[in-house]
Amino acid sequence: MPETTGLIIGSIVTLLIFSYLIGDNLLYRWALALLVGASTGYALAVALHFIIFDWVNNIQPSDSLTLRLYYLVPLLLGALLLLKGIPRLSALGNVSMGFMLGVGAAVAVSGALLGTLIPQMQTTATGISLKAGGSALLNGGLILVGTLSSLFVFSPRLRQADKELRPITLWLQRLGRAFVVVSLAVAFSGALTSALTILIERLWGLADFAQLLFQFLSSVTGS
Amino acid sequence: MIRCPKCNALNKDGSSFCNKCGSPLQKTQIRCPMCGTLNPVGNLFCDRCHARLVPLEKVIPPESTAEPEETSASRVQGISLPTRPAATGEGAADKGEESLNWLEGLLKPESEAETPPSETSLPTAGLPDWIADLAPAEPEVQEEAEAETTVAPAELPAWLSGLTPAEPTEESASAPAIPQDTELPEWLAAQGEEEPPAALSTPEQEAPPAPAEMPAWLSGLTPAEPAEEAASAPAISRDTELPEWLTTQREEEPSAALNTPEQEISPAPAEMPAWLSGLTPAEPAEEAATSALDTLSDESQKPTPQEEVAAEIPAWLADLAPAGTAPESKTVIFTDEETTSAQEIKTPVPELETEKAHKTPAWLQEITPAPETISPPPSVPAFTLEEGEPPAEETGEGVVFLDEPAELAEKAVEIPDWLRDLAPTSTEEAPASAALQQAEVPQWLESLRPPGTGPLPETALPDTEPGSIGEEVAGGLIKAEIPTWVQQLRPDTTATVAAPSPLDEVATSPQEEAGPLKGLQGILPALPVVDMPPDFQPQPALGASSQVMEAAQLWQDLLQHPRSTKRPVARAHARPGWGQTVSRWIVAVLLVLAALAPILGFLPETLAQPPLQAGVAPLQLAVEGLQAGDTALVALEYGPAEANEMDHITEALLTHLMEHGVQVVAVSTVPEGVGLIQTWLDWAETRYQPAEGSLVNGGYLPGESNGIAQFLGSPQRTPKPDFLLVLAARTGPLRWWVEQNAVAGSRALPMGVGLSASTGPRMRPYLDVYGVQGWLIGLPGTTAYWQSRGIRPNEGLARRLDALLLTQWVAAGLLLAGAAYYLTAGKKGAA
Repeated sequence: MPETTGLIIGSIVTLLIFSYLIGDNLLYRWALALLVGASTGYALAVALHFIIFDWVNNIQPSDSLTLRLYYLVPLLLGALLLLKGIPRLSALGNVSMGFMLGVGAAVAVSGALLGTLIPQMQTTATGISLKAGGSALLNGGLILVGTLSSLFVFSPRLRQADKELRPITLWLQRLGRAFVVVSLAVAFSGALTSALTILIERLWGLADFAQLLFQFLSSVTGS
Repeated sequence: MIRCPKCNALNKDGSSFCNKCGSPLQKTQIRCPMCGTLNPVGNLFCDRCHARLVPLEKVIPPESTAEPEETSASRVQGISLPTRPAATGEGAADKGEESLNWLEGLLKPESEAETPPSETSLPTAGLPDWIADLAPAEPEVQEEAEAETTVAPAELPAWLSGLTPAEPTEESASAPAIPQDTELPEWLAAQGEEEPPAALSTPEQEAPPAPAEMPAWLSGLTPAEPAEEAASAPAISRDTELPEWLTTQREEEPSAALNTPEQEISPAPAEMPAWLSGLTPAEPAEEAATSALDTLSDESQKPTPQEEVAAEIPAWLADLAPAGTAPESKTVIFTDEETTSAQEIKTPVPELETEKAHKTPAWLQEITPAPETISPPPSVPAFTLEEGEPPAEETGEGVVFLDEPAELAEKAVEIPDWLRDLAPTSTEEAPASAALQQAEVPQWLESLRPPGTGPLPETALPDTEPGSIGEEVAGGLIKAEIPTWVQQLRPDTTATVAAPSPLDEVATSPQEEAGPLKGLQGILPALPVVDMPPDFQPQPALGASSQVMEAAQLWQDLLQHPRSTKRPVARAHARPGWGQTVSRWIVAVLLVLAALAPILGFLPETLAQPPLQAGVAPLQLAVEGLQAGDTALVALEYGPAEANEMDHITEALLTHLMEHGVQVVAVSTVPEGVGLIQTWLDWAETRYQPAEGSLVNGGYLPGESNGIAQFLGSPQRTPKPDFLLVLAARTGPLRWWVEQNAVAGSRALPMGVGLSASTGPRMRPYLDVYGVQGWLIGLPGTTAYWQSRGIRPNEGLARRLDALLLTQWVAAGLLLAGAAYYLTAGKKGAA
């Protein structure tokens, strides 16, 4: 039964979204608002359940004062953070904001260095090695040339219109634009594939809904 | 809106505290009676229309001791914003009472409301000598003096009560009811030390002050008093310096009048105000007028028309009229030390009787200096008035002859500084009319001077009519010949015909006979503004290149021969045209047909073959290498919106894990993923019925990368996982997991990744990083994973893959068609 209910509701909302074919209308906007509202409400409920309630429930009466104070600190910081919404008391929320930004920056920077920059540089450097073979060398060379030429495209100094560029710089910029275009095309293809997959699922869901509706009508009419 | 008094920020009505600085606000309680605007309590005037919100009334404080806050709220003080809190306590009450007493003193009692104001009496008790010396002279008539009204002593402030005129002893010159404990200013208290003023000491005092202490200028405000009371008139010493313009109006006799201390003040008419009643001139017999303002009329004399007119003239003006002069002829004489000759300027002069002695005001008389201290008076005009008659053209009528400068010099008195400042400048700075100064003409203006003309010579104003050309006239001016170019500018006065009006000009102008303006009148001819020389050749711009010249020539040709092309009409609304709607429907129909073709039976067999993905096989091997009882940490990083695509990936991988007996711990950093976790765990439990505790819902993992770092670094949260499987449809969660897993270093977990088709190409670089064992992307990767396990994908998955293939072909075809259309006809259509 829940599956049937979900099927019916999902099909109706899908048709509301498809109404955009005839232009922007109230039904389409209502469906969008429903999506945004449901997502926000669900996220709030999850945050309250898994953060606030669990944190409060973890405080046991038998816990020592030190442990209770330990649980009190995040609650106090969270309460101070809520004061950011009040202009008169917003200054008190700067303590929580500073703590969050500091910790977040520390974790993010370490992760970016050790998880993104260094490993990817190692991977790129490994691909350029002569020992890796011709295909690997070509792959690494393409990666290197594409990365450098793309940097030429986005360099602010080289984008000045009143400055005459040297031919090699001009050609590197053009090559970089080509790599950027190809990258964007690949990203677009992936997004299109994902969208088409979702479209297929929705249309098949509508087909199931239509079949279900046909069966229902048949049972009602007795034919 | 309420404005904060501290930071001047605007706040909504009804706010108790300022939103910016937090200071408390006074709520609006006063509504403007004029415009109805709500204003803060502390406002005295409306912020919108500036009407007065608080009436000018004394606010009687309640007898009960009110709270300071209530008092401040009820008693509105201060000015408009920013407001100030009202003063509280007894000091405030006393201050308020004191501040209002002097106001009350100005109010007349009801009993004396009908009494002429000229009958005001001013006691002089307790006044300093310089004020007392200014006491008014006794008027000749005493009857009116008795009828004068006195200001209610109880209502006069201290400083005014001391100024009341001298009264008979039987009259009560009671001072205003000022409490004895009232704090007096020091300057006033010091004056009353010697002789405490009656007004300040006791309110019941009725003894009138000594008349001798009445100030002269105030004595004029008193009514006619008996002659014996005029002894209080101070004597004006000759040391007092009078200004020139006053001394010139004096007669010979007034000099004696300056010495007499007694003055007679005739009572003013009943209808005259008090301050004017004192302006009644003294009788000719009593010349010593030491009052501040001499009266004009004498009640003993029947007022003549001139006197009536004179009576209406203020005393300060009448006093300036010289006595004993012919009223029919008066003139104003400028005396200049440089020029001995006096320049007479005729002015209307009122006709005054010669009997009326020139009465110098007392306040002026007392400041007249000694004759030996007379200094040459500055050249100032002496004004006289004649009764309503215009100044006569002829000399001798309406002219008054003033004293010679020598005589004036004798009579000149020491002028006080304040009066000297009002006098004209010294004789060196003679009026500009005395001489013309040639202004320095700038060079550019000199260059515009017509030929034959020269700068204007320095000459004085001619006092006579200019003579003939070349003749020297008075003042050193020589009549010059008017240049011809100036004479040409002379308007033609001979023609008496009025200039035709514009309408007449239009009516009389000829009609146009041809062209679009045929039949219209008043058409101006198209004449060139500037006549070009016949041989004018426009010079080309210096340095203009040939391209610029060609472009300029092209512009010129276009402007001379505009193209007759139709301009596209701008659409009134932005609705898409039928072309866009049709194309949209065509695309939709094709995609729908392609997507539904497999299930509609259009394809007998499956067409799609999953493409080879490099990460599928390693991922399958990695999962295959897990043993029963191992723990796999599954990160479900997608929501219901991406579930249509990711559910197939999740099903394939989760099935593989369950078939190997691996314990699954599912977490999600996405709030929407928590519901999906439970849904999959229920599916797995229903389908595979694992051991209890094999499926753990880790729930929501807050904090993004921070939460992941804490989760991975906390061994107490879950059993140490043996494998990390990330199922992500977004780039952020995958990056966080990859980075935090790499930060762990040696404790990094072997990692498998399942991505959606939209995330795969963008996160491809992360898939080659150390720690990622294998990966699969989208529906093709799922199909390939099943095939790598040697399992035939189910029918639904195969059909979906066929539908994806068909829709991709349709999308590609549409894109190519659009590109072809743009290359061929796109530019024209866009234009």
